[in-house]
Amino acid sequence: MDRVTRDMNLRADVVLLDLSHDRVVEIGFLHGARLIRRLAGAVACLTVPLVAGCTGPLSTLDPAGPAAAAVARLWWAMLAGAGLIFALVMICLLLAYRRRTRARGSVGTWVVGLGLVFPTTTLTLLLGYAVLTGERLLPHPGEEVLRLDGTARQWTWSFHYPDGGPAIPDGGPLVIPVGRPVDIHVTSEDVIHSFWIPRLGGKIDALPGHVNVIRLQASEPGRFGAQCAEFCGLGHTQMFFWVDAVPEENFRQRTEAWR
Amino acid sequence: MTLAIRPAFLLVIALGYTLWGGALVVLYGVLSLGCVFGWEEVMLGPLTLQRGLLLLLWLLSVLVIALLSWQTCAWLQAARAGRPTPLARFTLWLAAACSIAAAGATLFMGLPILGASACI
Amino acid sequence: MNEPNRPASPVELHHELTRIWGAHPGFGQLAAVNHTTLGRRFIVTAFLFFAVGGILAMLVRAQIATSHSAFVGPEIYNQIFTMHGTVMMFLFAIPMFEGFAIYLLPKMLGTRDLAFPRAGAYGYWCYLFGGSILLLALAMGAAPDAGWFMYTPLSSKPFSPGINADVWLIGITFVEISALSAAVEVLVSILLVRAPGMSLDRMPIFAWYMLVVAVMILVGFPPLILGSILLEVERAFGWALFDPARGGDSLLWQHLFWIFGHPEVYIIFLPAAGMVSTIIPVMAGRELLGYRWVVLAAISVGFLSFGLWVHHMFAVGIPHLALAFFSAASMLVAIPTGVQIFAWLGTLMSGRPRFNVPMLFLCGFFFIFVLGGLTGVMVAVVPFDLQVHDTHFVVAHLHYVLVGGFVFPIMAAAYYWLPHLTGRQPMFQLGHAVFWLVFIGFNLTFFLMHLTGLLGMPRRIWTYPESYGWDWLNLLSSIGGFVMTIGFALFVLDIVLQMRFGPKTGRNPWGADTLEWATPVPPTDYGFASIPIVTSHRQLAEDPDLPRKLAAGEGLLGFARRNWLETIAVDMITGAPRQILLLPGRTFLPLGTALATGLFFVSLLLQVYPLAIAGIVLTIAVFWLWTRHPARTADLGPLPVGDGTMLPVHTESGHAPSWWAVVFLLLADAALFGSLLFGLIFLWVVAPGWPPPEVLFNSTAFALIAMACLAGAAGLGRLALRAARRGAVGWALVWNRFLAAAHAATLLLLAAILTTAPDPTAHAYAGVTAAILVYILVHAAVGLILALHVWQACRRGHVSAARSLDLMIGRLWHDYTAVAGVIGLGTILGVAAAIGQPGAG
Ligand code: HEM
Ligand SMILES: [Cu+2]
Ligand SMILES: [Cu+2]
Repeated sequence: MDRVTRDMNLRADVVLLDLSHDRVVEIGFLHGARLIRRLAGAVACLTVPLVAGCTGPLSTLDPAGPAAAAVARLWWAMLAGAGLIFALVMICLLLAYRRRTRARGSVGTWVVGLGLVFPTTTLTLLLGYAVLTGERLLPHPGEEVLRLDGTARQWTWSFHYPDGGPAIPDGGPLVIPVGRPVDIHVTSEDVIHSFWIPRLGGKIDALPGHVNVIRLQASEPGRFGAQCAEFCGLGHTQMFFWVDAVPEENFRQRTEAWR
Repeated sequence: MTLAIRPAFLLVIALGYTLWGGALVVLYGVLSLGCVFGWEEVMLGPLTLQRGLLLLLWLLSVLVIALLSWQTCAWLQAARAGRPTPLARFTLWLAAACSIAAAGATLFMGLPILGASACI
Repeated sequence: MNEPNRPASPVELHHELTRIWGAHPGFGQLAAVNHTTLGRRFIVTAFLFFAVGGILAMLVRAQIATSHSAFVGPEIYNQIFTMHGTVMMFLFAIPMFEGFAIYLLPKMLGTRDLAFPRAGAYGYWCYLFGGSILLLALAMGAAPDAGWFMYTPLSSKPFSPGINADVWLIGITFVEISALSAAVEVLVSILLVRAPGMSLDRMPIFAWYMLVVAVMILVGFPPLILGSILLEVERAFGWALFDPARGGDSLLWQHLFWIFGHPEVYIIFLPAAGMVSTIIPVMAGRELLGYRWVVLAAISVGFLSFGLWVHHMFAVGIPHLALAFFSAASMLVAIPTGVQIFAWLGTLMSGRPRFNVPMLFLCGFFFIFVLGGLTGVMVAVVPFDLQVHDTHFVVAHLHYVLVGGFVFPIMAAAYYWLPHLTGRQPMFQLGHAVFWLVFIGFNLTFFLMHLTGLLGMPRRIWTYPESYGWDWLNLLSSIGGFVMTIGFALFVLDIVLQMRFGPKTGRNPWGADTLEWATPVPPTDYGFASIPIVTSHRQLAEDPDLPRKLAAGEGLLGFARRNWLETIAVDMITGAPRQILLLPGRTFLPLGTALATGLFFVSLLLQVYPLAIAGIVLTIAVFWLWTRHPARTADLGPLPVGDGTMLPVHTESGHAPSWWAVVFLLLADAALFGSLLFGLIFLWVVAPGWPPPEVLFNSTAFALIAMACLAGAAGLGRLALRAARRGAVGWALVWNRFLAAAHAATLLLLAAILTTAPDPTAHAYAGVTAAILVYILVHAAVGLILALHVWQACRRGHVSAARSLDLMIGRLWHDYTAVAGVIGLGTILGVAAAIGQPGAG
């Protein structure tokens, strides 16, 4: 993967990604349980009748790990709340034109009640939920954690284990074990990039001169897309790689094999 | 009582939120310094030095702005007891309301000190 | 002095005032400084830039419409989206509301013009020239291409070797002069130049909003200006500032950019909210519900918006607690926004709302802006933002806020105030078609982007593979974009038709109660033939005959005295009349100054530095000519204003508007200096590669003497002022001479320190230290120029006990310079001592 994107006609690259994606779909269908979850996701996504559900190699709504799942739950909860508040405002607006008799223009009800007290309450609850969720996703110290070091440069990534061994074999995807938390320590050699595997969780920037850590975990085997999320110049679009989550024993076999 | 309100009073209106801004900068600054200098590792009873310091600064700033709110409210009350001009009412109300809002904002903003991890 | 003769008839008064206030036709139009003309120019120019930004947006949408539709590669695409964002934010949104504010404020405040007509004109030319630089670069294919927030190191020399990034840094800084000058002008005018009797509680709500916005600009723009200067210096001269290999940090740029960038979006929203708050009560047929709550909300948003900047940086690796502070602050800002929304809804619900084109756009505003606000709260939630940050979800969010919160209110405002601007009524009901096209097109375009974003589509990508399943959504988005564009085209047509063929409108067609509807429509150059005395905050509703009375000269200053352009300045709080403001009339000086300034910026861009120095000198020289306007050699004493009372002219009374202008400029200056000091501390604590290999340690004595000189200059400025106020102009001259010497000595000392200071290209410590030294040096140099000006003014007899304004302004400057100098040099010495001798760190 290191070299895949370098020196190559960028347009052709996309086609290349395209081809490899067909394999992803095959892998996906091997797992019946996942198929059902995908169907459930598709139902949840009825708001998008034209899209075949919320799937896709980069979909945040098709979580494959606890972090992404927590965020997806957060999203659906916030969507519901936002929908209600939006409906409230729209109904007020409609009523303003529908009502025969005038409402009492009371500052107490409108400005203080609806404008001040209502949002303050909602937001306090949301802040609590947000901070608690955020806490759970942090890279707290733990024993079982696998550590990886990632270095970005225009427009590729290279990954190493702390002992220096490469974590990506030539041209292959990044391999991580299923069910074990992975801390990725990212940095950059040139401009700012951002490390992002949407189906596993949020992103973290790779900054020159700094090392940032993100905790991710796959809860099911599969192949997920990883996209550089911070605009980093001409090759930003193509700064993409695949991540394979494999069961622990396969993981050991595969990583041993490259050493 | 008719209060002559002078231009400098505009600064009183802005004072509460200015203190709020100061509190934000101080909290963020102390937090960053604390993580650099390892205050999170120093235990201070049940709390780390880092969190204890942040709690203290937070509550202190809420207190200061609350005192300001109390003072501006007292002015407003005093004025209401007399026969204030609409202008005096308006400006004094605005000063009181801005200070109270700033105190509330400071309180709300610091809530995460009660839970969030300080240096990860 | 006697009351001047009143003209025989309103018509005669009109002719007299037009002769005095108007600009000559043809080339003479370039000399116009009148707020009505300038406001119109800002609005029209901003609209042209909106068209450019819109065309760029259409190119973006065409490029990513499907996975196969890309027609340019990333080289061009990066320029297109960067320019789209840049044009929309800096060349459309800000100048557009400035135009509305400049056009409306004096009329709403019941006065004839803003406080500094020439500064307004200068700002306009800077905007036009700066914007043209950017467009020219776009036409030549050398437009900026590092995204509208220009993150370093991508925008630094090694990764953007071309001129593209320089175009952004220099062009935008040039344009920002106009934002700053408009902010000072608007702020001082709202505070001081109102109709007599307009106390703070009677001020139109729009003025309150603009007051807040002006302060926000003064505090919010300097960090970006500083950042741009530093980055340009790094690019052009190799100073180490943001380069992590040399002790700099790309995060410093992000902080500086977003300390500007977040308030910026509220700077754009608040004027629009002010217009909404103005229009809704008129349409609802009642007063605004909770006027003082809305004022409170505007002030709260203004302040709180400065505490959220880090929410654009959630992914840069800041500890969770710090993120949570900013997450909480971001949620907080939703509360005053909620207060405003419900105040507007309550106004509508308790009134009898009319349904017409402006109201239609305001309904669209409610729909879109509320959705944008709700997604805004979502992205304030850290874990969620870490997923959608830098995806099309954020693109959707920001357009819901900007288009909903700015473009829709502006279109409502356009339809609302068009009868005022043109004196004509709308012709056909095209407005409805415009609304539905734009509204449906907008939602189709951007609602779907939430989903593409959630499906993982990053922003700023120039193509994507078909297999991701984004094709359908993007295609519909693009179709929506084109529907919206048709709507905007129809809008232009509608307006042109109304301007050309609309039937004449009567005065105050909407039955509004704000004073801008008391002027003739279309407005005359002088605005009000005489100035109203305000007794209520709904003056026009309570006195519908007011327009006729004012035209007949029954208000204040209803005469043409000695060809002067006169208006009244008042007490900030009570609105009691205080001074007669003598305004400058038509002049080519602003254009000349802007050309000189342009020479400076263009030479910087082309790296012809000798010419850049010539540009500075020329700019100062032309500015020097500005001071000829109010200068007099004899006191005028109090003059009658028309109701039997007498007022002094502003040059002869204590705190004239220009004094306040300098106070507010210094506020902006302090924000810039504060950002610079923050930069030094920030790098020290956060950046990699510290401590520096070499620190400034052998200039302590020089620095201490320089501090003493600066303090001395401040003291001497006070002595000179005191002497002048006693009428002892001779003594003032003496003190002033010492003052000049003190500044000159400071200049030499600082230059000496700079030559022995560590190499600014070696390490960011040296870079920022040198920047602080240069900052103080520039201030001492300006202090010297002010001293020279005072010298000239004294010699020419422009200074007397009453006419000591120049010295008062000088005193402000010298005081500020002393404080900044002592703090700056003190910080440098302190940091040097703390870091210690080389190798000790
Ligand atoms: C008129 C209809 C508009 C359309 C169709 C449109 C479309 C777009 C699209 C598709 C992008 C994303 C580009 C990318 O990430 O590759 C974008 C970015 C942006 N737009 Fe718009 N836009 C419109 C109006 C506006 C307005 C009115 C504003 C501001 C007042 C605005 C401000 C921005 C900004 C700041 C960006 C970010 C640019 C960057 O990433 O550097 N847009 N726009
Ligand atoms: Cu990248
Ligand atoms: Cu923001």
